[in-house]
Amino acid sequence: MEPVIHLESVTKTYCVGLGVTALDNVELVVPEGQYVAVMGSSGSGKSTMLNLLGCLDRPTSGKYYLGGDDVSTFSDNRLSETRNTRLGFIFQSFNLIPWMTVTQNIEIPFFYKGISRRKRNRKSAELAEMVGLGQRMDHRPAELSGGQMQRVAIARALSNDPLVLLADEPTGNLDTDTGNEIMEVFSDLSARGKTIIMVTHESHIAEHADRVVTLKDGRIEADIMNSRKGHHTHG
Amino acid sequence: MGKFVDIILLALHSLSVHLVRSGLTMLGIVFGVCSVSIMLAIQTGASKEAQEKLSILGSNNVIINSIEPARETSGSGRQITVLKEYGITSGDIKCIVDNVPGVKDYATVHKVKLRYYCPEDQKRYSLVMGVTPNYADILNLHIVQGRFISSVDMLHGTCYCVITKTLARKAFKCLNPVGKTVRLKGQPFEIIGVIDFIPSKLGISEEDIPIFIPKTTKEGRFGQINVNWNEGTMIAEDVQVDQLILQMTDESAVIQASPIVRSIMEKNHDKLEYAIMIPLKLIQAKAEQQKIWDMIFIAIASISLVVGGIGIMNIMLASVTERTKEIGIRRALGAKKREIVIQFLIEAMLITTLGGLIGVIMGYFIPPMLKDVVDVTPIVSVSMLIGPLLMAVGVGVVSGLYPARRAASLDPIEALRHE
Repeated sequence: MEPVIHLESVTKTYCVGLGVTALDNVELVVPEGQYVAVMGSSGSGKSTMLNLLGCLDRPTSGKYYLGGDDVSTFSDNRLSETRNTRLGFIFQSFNLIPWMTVTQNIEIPFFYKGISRRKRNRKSAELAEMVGLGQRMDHRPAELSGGQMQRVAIARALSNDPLVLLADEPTGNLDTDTGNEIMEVFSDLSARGKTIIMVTHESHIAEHADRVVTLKDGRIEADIMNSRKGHHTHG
Repeated sequence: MGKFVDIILLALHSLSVHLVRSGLTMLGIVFGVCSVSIMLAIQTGASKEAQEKLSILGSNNVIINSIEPARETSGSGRQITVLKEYGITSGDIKCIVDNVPGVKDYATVHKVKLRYYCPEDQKRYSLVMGVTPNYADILNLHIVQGRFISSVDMLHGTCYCVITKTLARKAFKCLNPVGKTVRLKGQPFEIIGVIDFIPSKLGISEEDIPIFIPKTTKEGRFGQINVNWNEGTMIAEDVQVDQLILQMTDESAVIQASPIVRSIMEKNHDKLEYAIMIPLKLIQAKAEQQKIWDMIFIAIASISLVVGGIGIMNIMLASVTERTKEIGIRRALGAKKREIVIQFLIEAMLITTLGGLIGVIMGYFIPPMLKDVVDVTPIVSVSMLIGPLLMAVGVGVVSGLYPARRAASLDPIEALRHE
């Protein structure tokens, strides 16, 4: 079966000054339904990798196949379309638009997909219900707790039924209990077959994943299948 | 199309969230467009009034006035009697009428300043004008009451006179002046008609209290030589015709006739004792002048709108900076560059279009209220307001484009990282 993600000797250098190599000849294959944690210290290249996987950036060299398509050659417009229809983003700082309500935030991807207003309203309400925010659909992000905001972000990321869910330190701004709650949601999504790539620097968070990829200086240092998974999901 | 409506709704929503800021930004455009509309209304009104005033003189007329030539310093001021002979002669008139093509009709005026008296008004001087019956027709005088001098009056030299509405109102208040009597230098004249007003630029004003009598009566009763006493000196003025009004067949005849009339007058007189006035040329000059004013006005109007536009650009740039993160989020969730441009452009255009609409509505209702303040009747029309509104929309496009493009060109990764 075709892997969902296939990085083929991907290198990313920034041409600022002497040219910093953020990713150096990285090979990564992620089959469908896998839950991957990407670890590494700051400056290891994990953010760069997430940006590349998220089609927010193009590799300097090498190829990136997303669902079989070589997106490294895509135009800016096609990258936008790809982000819109095939990827779901979850950020550390939630990244909700402050002046829009819960449902309005959830429907942003629908908006750019060109889905009609009525259908958008119905689907965003369903998604808000799904993440347990049925009672707070017309609230603004400022009126929500951190966990609730992250739930809105998850609903938004799931709205277009993405091929891959990309999460960047999703529990970084949350307290332990709320963080665990969110991790439950991720485990749940993984159990339902969603492909997830999650960047984190906390090993206890990474333990929830099927596979842990550790980056160092732009190279993959370790790539370990997590055999102990299951023991910690309810820890 | 649905997406376009969505983006407009999104922009409206975003503006309504920042209500104070949007409102203040809009204010610049509101006042700009409003003042442009008001100025336009006043300008149009003033221009129309000026054109009307001039056209009363008749665009088909050529008017020649006798003027006293500059006095030659012959002898000291000890003379007892001075006889001044100048101005248009009947010879001139014959010469002009015979030689100038396209003369349809002509009227002559003889003026004399006389004491007048009527029971309802105190004694004062009046400018008595001996005129021919066609005078009223040629000058398009509007007769409010009674009738004008007829050819029968001319023939018999009757003691009838026509006065102006101003005098009628002053002297007779609410009474009907027709049939009443005024005394001119002691002689009774019956009022037979009242005219609306005297066109300005004709060389006479309402203050002169013009009273019209038949030309033959003027000559018969008061003679051709007007005698004035001034500090012991008798000044006798012998002017055959004070004013000659030529009515031409059409405007092209006026243009053709003016140099001929001028050369005839130059040939017959060595001194400058006449003045030729061509209302058509005045109208044309006025129109030229109007064009210059219009251009100055447009320049000023554009400045005020440019200032408004700069304000909008400034606010939009601040808004783009403030909403960098929002732009990053939208880009990450699939917004194309084009869609970001449209979103911000529409916001700018909504501000100016709404501001323009409010300004235009104000510009429609305010000018009529200014009637007394500006001394002209401003003219407003819906079609006149389309221009300022389009200008406002244009300002929105121009001032919104740069901030919108800047918003779209942000790197999504950088934008997302922005706090």
